[in-house]
Formats: sequence, structure tokens, C-alpha cells
Amino acid sequence: MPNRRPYFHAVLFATVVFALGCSATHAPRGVLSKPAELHTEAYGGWVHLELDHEFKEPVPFVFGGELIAVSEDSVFVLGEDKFHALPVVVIKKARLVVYDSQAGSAGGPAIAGGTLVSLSHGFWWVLTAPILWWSIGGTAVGARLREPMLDYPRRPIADFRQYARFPQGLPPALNRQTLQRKPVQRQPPRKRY
Amino acid sequence: MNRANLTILLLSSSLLLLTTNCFNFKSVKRTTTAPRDYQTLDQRSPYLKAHMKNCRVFVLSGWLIGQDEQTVAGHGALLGVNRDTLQTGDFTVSIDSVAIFETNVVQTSPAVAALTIVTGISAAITVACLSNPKSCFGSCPTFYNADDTSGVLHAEGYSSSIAPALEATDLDALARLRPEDSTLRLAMTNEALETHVVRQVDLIVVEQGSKSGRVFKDTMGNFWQAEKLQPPSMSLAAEGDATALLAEMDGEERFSLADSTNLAAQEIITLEFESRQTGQAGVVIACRQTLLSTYLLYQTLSYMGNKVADWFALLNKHPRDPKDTKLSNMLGNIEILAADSAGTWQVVGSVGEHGPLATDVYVVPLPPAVQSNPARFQLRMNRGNWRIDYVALASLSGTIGSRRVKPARVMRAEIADDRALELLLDERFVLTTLPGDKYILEYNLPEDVQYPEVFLESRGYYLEWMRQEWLAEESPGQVAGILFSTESMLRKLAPEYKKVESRMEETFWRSRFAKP
Repeated sequence: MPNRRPYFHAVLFATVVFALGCSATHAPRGVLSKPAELHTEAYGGWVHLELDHEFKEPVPFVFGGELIAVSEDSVFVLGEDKFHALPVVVIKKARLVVYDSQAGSAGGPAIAGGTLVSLSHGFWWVLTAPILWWSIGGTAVGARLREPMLDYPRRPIADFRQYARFPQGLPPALNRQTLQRKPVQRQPPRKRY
Repeated sequence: MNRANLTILLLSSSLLLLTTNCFNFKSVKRTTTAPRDYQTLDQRSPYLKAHMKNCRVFVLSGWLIGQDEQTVAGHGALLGVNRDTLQTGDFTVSIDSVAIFETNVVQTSPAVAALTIVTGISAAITVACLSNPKSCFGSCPTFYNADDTSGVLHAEGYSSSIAPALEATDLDALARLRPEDSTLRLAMTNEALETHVVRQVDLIVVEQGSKSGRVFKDTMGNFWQAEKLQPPSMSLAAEGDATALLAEMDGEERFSLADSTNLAAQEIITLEFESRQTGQAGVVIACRQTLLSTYLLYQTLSYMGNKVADWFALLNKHPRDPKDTKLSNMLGNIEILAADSAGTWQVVGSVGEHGPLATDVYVVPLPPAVQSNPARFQLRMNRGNWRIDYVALASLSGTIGSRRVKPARVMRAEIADDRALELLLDERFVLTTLPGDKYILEYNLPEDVQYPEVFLESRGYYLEWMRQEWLAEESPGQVAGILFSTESMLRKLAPEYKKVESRMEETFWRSRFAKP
């Protein structure tokens, strides 16, 4: 009889990695706030957009930026280069990330560590690693990664509104050209050797 | 604690530290509220953000709605359009000038619960395996009624056959299984970290004679028709009256704990029966072993360590019935003693088979010399080595012939497995099973047997898988000690066994291996 166990483990592991990969925030490092910081900060969440190719404005088809405001028919985003006003109809997909879930930095090592410690279970590793850590642990971490995310069109764009810098809508008197991005403390580059 | 265990413990501690970060996972519940609905503001939010119509925002802690219900006051900061701090201090803001209120409540993420459970289970398994590696389930093939979901274990096959050289035939009474139609389906499972090599699994069917009668096997493999089963009117053990525990074959067992200084110490149960049987009488005993023998087997394997293959090769070269080893003899069977005419207790028979899982039932026909005084007996056995479920005095009407029934069908994962059937029908071949494997064996009972009593005859052997934790204790000297200085080893191991004895049964059954 063919031994299916290695395939089972490989498929399960790949599924978990894929599921976690689907939870990417696309946000630059340092932009997202920690949950407790949302009490006192008043910036918008980070939105990553994929636009319709028919849209003729000089905007990249895929880009990200701070969510500034949402109106009935438009989304206002402060991108890397400038302020964009985008009609909702040209948005194919959007993912808003409200805060840093920290699932990647804490959950990933926890699953790796759990898998390692499962080796102490002897043969039971074939169950405890994939079921406890990869499947249940991976699902929990994946759920944690997705907690601060809202995806359009799964959720209506109106749901994004309260996470904008101006949840009340874009103030008429606002000078769009003077808007500045959230200052981000630059992280030192990682040592490679 | 050895170095390997220490490493694992350190790793586990690191894991706990890692997951502690996960336990700080917080999620945020944000709510925006129109100024006219200020009464519905979430009071749990420690800060209130008042987004003003002029694009600025007040971030207020200790916030309160004014008594006039026109203002909100608090301490904090006023942020500009680009969220730079324009002013700090105490503020009173007119609700009329607010475009929208925002509250944020930080709470523990639901993911923490799942990770806590996962960490807890993983840590518990680690601790269990570290603290008591010799209590993990070991079984030899186990047999259940496939059509009964109660999980009652009916038999375990050839428990003593722990190597190819020790391949043996085992006959087990399926005493709690009463077939109700012409087909009997047994589930044969491998629930331990073992390789099972199964040569044969047949049913032995015997006619009970009457609906109220029973058939029991003796240690020679004879089947005795028995009637008028009479439980003891008094059973006196060291701990006191055990009559109720021994009165029914109900899984309520009488057992004792091992001696704390000598695992070979013995004990006696005295039995009295109200009425004497006329004619041939026999003592019926339903029993199984405690985990003492399993512990000693695993301890021996542990002492063999990496050299286990060498030891087993030696065993193959000089095969020896494990029931005939010094260790086995010292642990011994359950001896039945009857008083002779001079009042001296004499051994009239003994029962016992290796195996801590399934209860087996035997009859010990009493020799003619004790027929005249069968009302009082003693059971002498190793202390802490036996679990006795039932004892009775029976009237035996003689031995009876049996019919062998081979499996008619074998199913695996609800699909007919003709290859497995072929292997079980031909004694030249064997069926090999691995942890988690389960086969349904279907038998057609003979139609001319009115009240069938069924027994299971299995033949084969099994190989225990060495556990990493066992290798740490490798010691050829200790193996020699168990083989040749058994008495002193049973004294030496007594304190170690006592440390795990009380938890062993629970841990053992919990660690059964089953495929998800």
C-alpha cells in the first residue's frame, strides 16, 4: 500500500503556508500602528488597490496608500507620490489593513517553535505537528492576520469609511495638496552578513 | 533529568515565551457615532476622538459628556489635518462642532484562545512523554465488536509475542460478546506504536448447551460447559471486603497497588461460596494484568536501548517462552488454593495470561480431591499485578468440542480488502499492520449452533517501536540484572514504578494511537 503520510504532511503544510500568504498586508514596514496606538493616533488605515485596466487616469493599476476618506462614489487615498481620488467603479479589488496584527512576527515563530517542540512527542509528531500546530495553530494565526483586514468587494466600500483619516468624509475646505503622509521611523537595514 | 530532556524542556519553555507574545494579540473594535447619537458612545473606550468639521481632531482621555449635554470634555490633544499636535491640555468641545465621534475598544483577539489550547495540549503531551515515557499505550492487536459503538475491548491477541521467535497462538474468550445473528463482525486494530504481524485470526465457536449456560476454556485449551454459576458470598482481601467487585463480569475490577519495596511481593484473597457444587466443579476467573508487566517490559527495552536489535537477535537464536522466564515466574499467575483434609492450603490450579488490556475468562476444574470441600478458596497472586473482574464457582458438565470459523470477509476503510483476507486464510503468509490500522473481520457463524459461545484464536507476533526517550537508559548490565538477578531488580525498580503507578492506567489509555 502506498504510504500517503509524506504527501499528507506536504499538502497540509503547503496549504497553511498558502493560507498565510493570502493574508499579506502589502503595507510598508512601520506604517501600520499597533492596536493600542489606535487610541491616540488619527491616521487612516493602509489600503491596497487593484484598479480596472480601463481606467485612463495616470495611476498605477496596483498601488497602496493611506485611506484618507470614503464618499458614496469615491475613495481618496494618499499614495506614495500624491493624493488620488478614485471612483469606486474603477476599483476591482481593495484590501484595507487597519492595524498591525503582529501575527507574522509572533505567530510564525510560535508555530515553528511548536513544530520543533512537537519532536519531543516522538512518533506522535506525525499528528501533533500537522494537526495542532500547522492546522489549528496555522488557522488561528491566519485568522489573526486577517483580523484587521477588510476586503472589497467582499465587504462594501462604505465599511472602509470609519477607518479613514477623515471618517466624516473629505472636508470641503481641505487643501489636498498639503496633505502629508504618516511619518514612519526608518528601520535600519537588516544585516546580511 | 538527562541532557536530552533538559533540552526539550528548554525548548518548551522557549515555545511558551514565544506564544506569550501571541497571548498579547489584541483586536480593535472601532465605532463611529454621529454627534446626535452621543448617548450611544461606547463608554469602554478610554479615549474619545472628536473629528471636527474643520478636519482637526480632538483625542480626549477621561472624557465626559457635559451636564448640559451640549459639550464633551476631557484631557488630551488637538491634532491638525496632518495629525501633528497643535495643542495639549484640558478641552471642552461643543458637540455641535463635531463631525463624527470615534471610539476604539482594544480587546483580546479570539485567536489567542485557539493558540492557548494548542500550546496547552502540546505542552501536556511533552510533559507526559517526558515524565512517564513508559506509560504510552502498547497493545498487540486489539479486537472490538465492529457493530457496537460502546468501545468495549473484547480481546487482545498474543501479548507475550514480542519478537518473531516468540510467535504464538492465543485463545481469548469473547465472554461479553453474545452474537445475535449469524454474522459476527470484529474490528481488529493497531492502536500502539507497534508493528503487528498477524498470521491468523479465527473464531472458535462452541455450543453453550442452554441459554443460561456458559462455556469457559481452561489453560489447556479445553472448553467446559458450565452451569449454576455462583459468585462468592465473601471475598476478603488485604484492603477489606471485595465481594461486590467480584460478583459480576461488569468491568468493575478488584486490584491492588504494588509493594513499594518489592515488585515481587504477593497477596491473598480469601473466597467463600454459600453452597457446594455437586459433581465436577470449577472456579471461573475473569481477569487481566495491571500495567506492572508493561512497565517492566518497557523498562527492559529501555535498558536494551540501541542494542535492542542485538538482544532480539539473540532471542531469535535461543527462543524462550517469555512465560517461562525468571521475571515472568516471579510475577506469576493467579494461583487457586483449596484446603485439603488436614486444613493445609494446596494449589489446585492457576490462571493468567500476559496482557493489561482485555479481560480474559478461564475456568479451573477442581481436582477430585477437593470436590468434597469446594466452598472455601484462596487466590494467591503478585501484589499489584492483577485486575480481577469476576470469580464464580461453577458446576461443570464436561468438555465439549468446538468449531473453527475463518474470516469470510475483510474490510478496510469500508472497502473489501481481498488481499488481507487471502493473507489471513493462508497460514504461510502474514498480514502486517501499522499504528492506526483497522480491519473489520466478518465471520459467518455455523447455523446449527443454537447458543454459540465464541472465542478468538489469534496467531502472530508484534514489534514494539523504540521510543527516543527509552534510549537514554541503555544499560546491558541492567538487562542482565532483569534476566539473571530478577529478584533484586524487582526490589530496585519498585520505587521507580511507584512514582508512576497511580497515573499509569489513565495515561496509558489516553495515549492510544488512532488515525484521525
